[in-house]
Amino acid sequence: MEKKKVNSKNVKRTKKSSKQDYFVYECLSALIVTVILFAVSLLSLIGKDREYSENENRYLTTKPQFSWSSLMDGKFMDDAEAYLSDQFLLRDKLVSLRTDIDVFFGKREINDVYIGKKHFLFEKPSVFNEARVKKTTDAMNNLKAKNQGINTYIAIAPNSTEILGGYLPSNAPVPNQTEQINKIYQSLSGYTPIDLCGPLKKVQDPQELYYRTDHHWTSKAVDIAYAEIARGMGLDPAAYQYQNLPVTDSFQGTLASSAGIFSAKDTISVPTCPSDVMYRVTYVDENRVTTSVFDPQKLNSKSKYEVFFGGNYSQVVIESSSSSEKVLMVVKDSYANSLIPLLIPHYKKIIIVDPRYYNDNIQNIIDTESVTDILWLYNANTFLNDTSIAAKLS
Amino acid sequence: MVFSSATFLIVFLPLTMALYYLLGVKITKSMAVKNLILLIASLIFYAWGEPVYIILMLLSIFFNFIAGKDIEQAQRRKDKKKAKSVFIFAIIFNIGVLGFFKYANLFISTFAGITGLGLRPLNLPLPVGISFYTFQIMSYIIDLYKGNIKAQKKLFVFALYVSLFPQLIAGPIVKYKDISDQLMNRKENWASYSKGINRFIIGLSKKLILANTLGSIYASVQASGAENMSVLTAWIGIFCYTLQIYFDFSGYSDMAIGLGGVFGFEFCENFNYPYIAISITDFWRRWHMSLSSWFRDYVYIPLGGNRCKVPRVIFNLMVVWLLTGFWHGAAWNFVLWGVYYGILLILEKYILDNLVKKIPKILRWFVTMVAVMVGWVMFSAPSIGEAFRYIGVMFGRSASFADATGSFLLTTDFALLLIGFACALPVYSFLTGLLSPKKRSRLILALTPLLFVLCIIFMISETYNPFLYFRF
Repeated sequence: MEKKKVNSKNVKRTKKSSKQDYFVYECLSALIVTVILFAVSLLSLIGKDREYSENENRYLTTKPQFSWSSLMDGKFMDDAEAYLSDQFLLRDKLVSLRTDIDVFFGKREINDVYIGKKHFLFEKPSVFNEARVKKTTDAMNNLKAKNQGINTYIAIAPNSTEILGGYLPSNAPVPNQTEQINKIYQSLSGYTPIDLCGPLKKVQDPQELYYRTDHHWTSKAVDIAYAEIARGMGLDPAAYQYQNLPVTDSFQGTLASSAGIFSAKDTISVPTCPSDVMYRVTYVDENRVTTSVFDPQKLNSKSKYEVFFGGNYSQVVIESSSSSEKVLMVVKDSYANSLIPLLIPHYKKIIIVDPRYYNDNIQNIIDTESVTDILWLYNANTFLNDTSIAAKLS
Repeated sequence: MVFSSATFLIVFLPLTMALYYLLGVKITKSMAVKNLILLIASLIFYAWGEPVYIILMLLSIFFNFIAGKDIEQAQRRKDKKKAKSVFIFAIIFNIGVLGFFKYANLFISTFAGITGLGLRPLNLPLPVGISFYTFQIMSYIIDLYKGNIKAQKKLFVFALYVSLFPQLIAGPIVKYKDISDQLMNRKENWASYSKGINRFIIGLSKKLILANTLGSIYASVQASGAENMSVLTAWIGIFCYTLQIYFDFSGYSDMAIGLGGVFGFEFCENFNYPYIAISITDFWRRWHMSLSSWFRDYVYIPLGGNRCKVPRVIFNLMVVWLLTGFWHGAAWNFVLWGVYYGILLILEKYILDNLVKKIPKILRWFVTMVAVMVGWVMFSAPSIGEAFRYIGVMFGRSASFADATGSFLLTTDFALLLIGFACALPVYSFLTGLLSPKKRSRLILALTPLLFVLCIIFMISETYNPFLYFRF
């Protein structure tokens, strides 16, 4: 009985001391947190503001201006919050740490970007919305019906998810784009379809066909697509012998920015110009004329793919000294920007229209420019999401 | 302002703490100064999110302060009639304000929908925290009328009770009778401070690390629409939401209780591992306890509670659960959710009680979790129709059992789901219970600061906002 009492007393004492021990460490951890809290706060206040974020490709929020009206409608508070988080200490480091944590714990999709193997990033593929696609193809069929005499071709490029399946994260849900593209081809009448999926899938080392950090295709893929398109449109690819020359090896594209993963860099190459053909490029809405389809200044910017044509414009016209009498209209998205330079020697005139930015009816161009050929050149993701084609053709 | 924002963590909290401890605790050592600092901080905290509606809160404070004084005065003069009429007027005022700002839109648009009249809803934005502070105020008025408490003599102390920023916008709903002493007399000490800080960081981590991450998974599942969903995807989605809402809400309560501790307050607990419940009754003893106890004290028991005949008890329960559902939001699916729980609780109480006791606990837990998850579908769905479609998919009304989307979610978020699940159950205290007391105390030293740094990383990275040249 006596012994038991002593024992329970001992137990009580150790319990008490372990409780006290716990209390000491709880205080210590609270103290560390308090120090971090105040340190972060003070450092945020004395730190120098950054104006521009290279990674995010945007201007950061600067000190909000106080006014009573901005206080009453809450704008001041929103600006203050944006300012504090935009200018937060080591912001870029924290963001990349977060991505590392996410990826470590298995996450393979960030901001609609799949994080694949070997530094490959993928644009999450578009879904096939029957109604939306039907609107587009109906409008295209209407256009063709009105212009029976014009040779009309369509080439839809598959995206990297279709060609680089082996580099996708495990179990990533991707549609069969070859089927989707064929379905689109089948619903078009009077269009000569050009299959790009087959030839791209046959390539031995497909990892060269798409950028790892951007949603576009590389010059290597363009070479293959050019050969196919030339064959489909009856052009002679031998008439233009060119080489691809690398112009930058530090390209980190849209996918890297979206996901916040900057672990890899890509190389962009551009084709050499045809030796016997001169040309002139007119940016119609911008009222600007140049002698090159390349904009080398873009190589110093974030969006280096814009080295081709300086980006997307509503209407660009290329007039060349080619002996051809044909006039080509290209209706396109940005995939076409790296391929069109190869078409220059084959046409007297090429009119490039991007329906996303072109605000007039396309028929007007066909009528006034006496177009002889039309090429629709898109990538699958953009085509499937597009609503501007239907809007601009009706 | 919310606790998980840069404004709060970088500017508001350090500033308030510094002023409170330097000016209040160290220099003047005066309760009035401490309370004044907290009151001003709380008003700024509220005004930061609601620069206009703060006037509504101030009016409500002022009105109820006067009403409280009147009730007490009338009672002292034994003027029961006047006390009663002031009391009823005050209750109508409070319910009226809440009803107008929270439910007017719903009633007008529902009425217009039924009658076909072209009435336009008022489209008033909901004042943040109005459901919480109105309920706090009502606890004061009711307890005062019942003679349980004395009226607060100082307006600014009453204002502090209503607006106290830790629990102002998301609870716990602290009853005046539980906190009136602390308002006038509390002692800050290391124990409550360090406990509070640790608790705050736990809550912040629940919100920033778990709730937000899980929430984004559910949002992507919900966005794909019930018609394209596989059974697997639907279950992953609602499992994520089940965890999200717990971490979100209990995280907020943890932060509130923790911040309370930092300033010397002790608030009531609000959650007690609701997802280990083995019945619906058990679940509601563990989920949002301050709200359940509010409805018990101020609605259920005044209606007669369960000391009546069975039909009356059923009526009382249905009233309470209809109101509970409605309190959560001005939409009919919240009402459905409340009625769903009312029916389940009545079934448990009168029919299943004896039957259930024979079933093994693990099975009871499983069935309870499924019932709770079905409830969360009603709670989170944009409409009642969408809720039923989602529930249909969960129980097999789908083209496929498991599709690529579902298995991709499962592979890439498996770790998160597992960690979330473990954190929702008392796994941490079980595991640390296996450690020696010494190691357990060392662990907290490493854990809380680490979690805080992680919270900062998660908070800042959520604002990552790349501009993608839209012309592509």
